[in-house]
Amino acid sequence: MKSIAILTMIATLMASTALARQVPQPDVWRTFAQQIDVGTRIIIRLHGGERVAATLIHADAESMLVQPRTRVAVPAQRVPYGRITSIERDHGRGVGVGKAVAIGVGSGVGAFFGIMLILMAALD
Amino acid sequence: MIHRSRAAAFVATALLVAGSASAQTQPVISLTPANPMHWDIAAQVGWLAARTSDSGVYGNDAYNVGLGGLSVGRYLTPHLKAEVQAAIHGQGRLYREEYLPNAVPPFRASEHRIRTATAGAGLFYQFFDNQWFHPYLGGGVEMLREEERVLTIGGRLGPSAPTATGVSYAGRPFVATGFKLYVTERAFVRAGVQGSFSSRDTTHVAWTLAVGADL
Repeated sequence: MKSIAILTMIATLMASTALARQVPQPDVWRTFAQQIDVGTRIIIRLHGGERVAATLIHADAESMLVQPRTRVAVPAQRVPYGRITSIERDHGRGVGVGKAVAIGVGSGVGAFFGIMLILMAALD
Repeated sequence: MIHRSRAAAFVATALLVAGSASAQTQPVISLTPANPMHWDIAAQVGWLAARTSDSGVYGNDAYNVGLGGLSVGRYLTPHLKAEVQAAIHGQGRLYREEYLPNAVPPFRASEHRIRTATAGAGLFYQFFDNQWFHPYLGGGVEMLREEERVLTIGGRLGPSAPTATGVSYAGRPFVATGFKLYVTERAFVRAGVQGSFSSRDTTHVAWTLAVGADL
């Protein structure tokens, strides 16, 4: 009986220690968002699995206001911290939209005509 | 009566599930613009590899020609688009030789000049939301008009026979894939490949490059 009581106490203590180590996720992202400079490019992953590239506009206690980076502009939107799985800075690696478009068009057109030439050569 | 009530229950369940799913998938961040584009219009050029199904005993049964066409699509959702398309193809030439056991000479050669055009409609699914690059998958049905002129060549012992012309129509399914690359908010370049099928084999494969715009 005594040993059961001791085991129960140990288990309770371990559980409470583990819980104490877990910081609620919304608090993590609130702290993180409030330390990021306004205008920073970020990538937000949401609980639903969505991944959105956006620019931070404002972070308050309940949510952050972001501007999604899209082709056609959409309104700035509030994202509650409780819906966020992760936030990371988007470093971009120096490739702008214009460069990406040029690379894409060039490689697409090149691949298209390359494949056509290969097929023509193969079928003749 | 039992079937009817089961069907009603099934429909009700499906509607409930769909409604529930729709409610659950309400995005936290919406990437759909306030005034989304409804139309997708493009002009295309490309290259068609065609294979005919009724080749002679000898000769070739495939040809390659250029093509040009237009497409008009209507977005049903940000991802799903219904599209009609039409294309005309260059003239392809095939040379065939038939064996005629009781004739002199025992071979008859012919030149087949084939010109085709297609008109079709389909549904296309476009991946990603409001981005610069969108891969797509689609399929549908198309009507093929094929005009074939046959010039029979008499060979050493006889003159060429008059040219025979025939026009045929056929409906068949197609599948397509490719990508759209936007160069501005609305204008895009689209590269793709589309295959049309007959009951026997793949008959047409078209590689296309289009320029167009969302309106």
